[in-house]
Amino acid sequence: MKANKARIIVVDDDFAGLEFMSISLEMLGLDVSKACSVKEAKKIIEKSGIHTFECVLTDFRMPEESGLDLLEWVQLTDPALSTIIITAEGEKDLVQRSLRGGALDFLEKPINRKALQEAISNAIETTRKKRATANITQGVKEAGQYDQIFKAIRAREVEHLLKYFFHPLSDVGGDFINVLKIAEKKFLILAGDVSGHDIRAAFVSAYFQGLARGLLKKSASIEEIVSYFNTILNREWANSADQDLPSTFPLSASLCILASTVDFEANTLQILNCGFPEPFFIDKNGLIQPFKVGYPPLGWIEGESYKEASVDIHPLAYLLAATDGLIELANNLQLNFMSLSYYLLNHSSEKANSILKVSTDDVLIFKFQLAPELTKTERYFPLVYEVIPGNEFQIIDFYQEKWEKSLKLIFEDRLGAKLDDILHGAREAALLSLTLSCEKLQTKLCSLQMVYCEALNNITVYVRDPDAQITDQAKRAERIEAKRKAIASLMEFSTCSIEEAYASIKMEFQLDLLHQNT
Amino acid sequence: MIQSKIIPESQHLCITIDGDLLSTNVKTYGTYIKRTLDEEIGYKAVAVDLNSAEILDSVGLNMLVSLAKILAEKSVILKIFVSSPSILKVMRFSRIDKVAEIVYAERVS
Repeated sequence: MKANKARIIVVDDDFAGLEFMSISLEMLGLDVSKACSVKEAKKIIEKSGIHTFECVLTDFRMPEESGLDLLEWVQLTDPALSTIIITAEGEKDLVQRSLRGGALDFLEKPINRKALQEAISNAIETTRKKRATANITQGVKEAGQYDQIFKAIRAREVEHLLKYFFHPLSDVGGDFINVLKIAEKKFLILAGDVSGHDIRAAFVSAYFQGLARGLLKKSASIEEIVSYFNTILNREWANSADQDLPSTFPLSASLCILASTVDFEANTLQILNCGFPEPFFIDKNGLIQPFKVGYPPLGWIEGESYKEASVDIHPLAYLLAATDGLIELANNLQLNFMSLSYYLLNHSSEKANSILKVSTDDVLIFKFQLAPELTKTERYFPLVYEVIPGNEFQIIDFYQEKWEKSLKLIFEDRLGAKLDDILHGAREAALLSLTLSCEKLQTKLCSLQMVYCEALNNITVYVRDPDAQITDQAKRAERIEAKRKAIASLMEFSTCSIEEAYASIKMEFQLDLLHQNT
Repeated sequence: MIQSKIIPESQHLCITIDGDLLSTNVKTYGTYIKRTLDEEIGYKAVAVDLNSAEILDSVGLNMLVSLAKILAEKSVILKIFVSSPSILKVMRFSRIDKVAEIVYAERVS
């Protein structure tokens, strides 16, 4: 029998039965405690500590408290501890109650030695496995708690400028966001996403964050830090990953990084994107601009040379970014990822949980205010951002349904009839752009964006297209005139105009919401 | 499910993966691919067919990059075939086209 020196307790008010079972089990090398009542059994267990026992063997029928009462107490105190109930022959109903109550097994009287040995052996093994699993689970939970402490590093001075949402797939994850102070008015927003979403990912994440903080203290640049860690992942990590298992495919770790350095004194913004989905800038007029410059994730290409890009910060209000977990989730839910960002950043975790059930990855979203002072009318939040190839005018219904679902996620039914106006306007403007400007070609793209301003209580829809690239002034004027004529019908329910500078259509829909969004 | 075949005319080793490429199946597929690369000879390019995939996570991406690196050492190019717009999006922002050729053919619904 595998479980030598294991400790068990036998409980039976029948002295002869108690002695028989105890002697039989002692002969197997087990450490046996005896009790002739549930009250006595509880005393013995509590005195030594329930964790010292690996099995409880108890008769069902006893005066005062029954074996089922003891089972209930054991289940509450230590659910991993296996309990075996002894019943009289033919007491099927008691057997069922015992098993439903959490008993691992039952033995029918008269008990034969072989059945007793097998049942006990199995019970002890089960207890050990359950306790080992419980320890690992607890350890992971605690690691996750420490993980959250380190991930929440934020420079206090700019804490009010950051809004973020983080949902790890398991107790620990590889996504993180830190806001670190570099100088008096200079801050680094460092967001990351390690491949995978397990303890290994959390380890790589913590390692990088510690390294980055240390090197920043020593005045290393973000380019140097990123380059150094790329070398570590390519050389040290990748090489050690396959040494022990040459028959398997070498699997490495990678890290996507988005580093944004804001200097509020010099009014500059430097950004370095390695593998993150393109981040977005929202300007003070509500226009969304994707930032397309970047590099592959760290750990992919050794010797990559990194350079931060400078962005003109003056017209900008916000930086909005998310890990690919958000994009996957939005695809699964058939929502626009911008709407999902808004929803998750602005709703309670209870509400978010129902949406996150279908998540297949860690989700991290953050929005950082780039202008410390923003008027209320400069505070826009993007709701929809879509880039549509010209040939997809044929599936405009699909896009419209997605926009409807996205807007309903945020506003529920509070938009009322205005929802139809917004959808109709967006659809018509998009079709105009796709057919006239994009000429129905897959290679020509139009972008549609919807932004919400709570202070102005409106939703603005912008539709931009390749006409913006036309340098021939005459041709551009001709196209703008054609659009002006075509959008006349849209004027009846929105303030609709053409933005000459971008050859784009702009529609403003004044809302009449019953309640303000929080 | 994963299977492979050599196309003699183009000297391509084609590996077809049925379904998604995720952290949950990457090890199994990786072992198969490694064995196939060791056993097959005479190929000048490896084509990974992910046309039936809807999801490609970061671990799956890493596997493709590791494959590209192994093939680069043998002067063999890697081509990845996809037909899901969301997977194409993931490949674009991760810039995997720096290590492999991406071939996109929109799925006909």
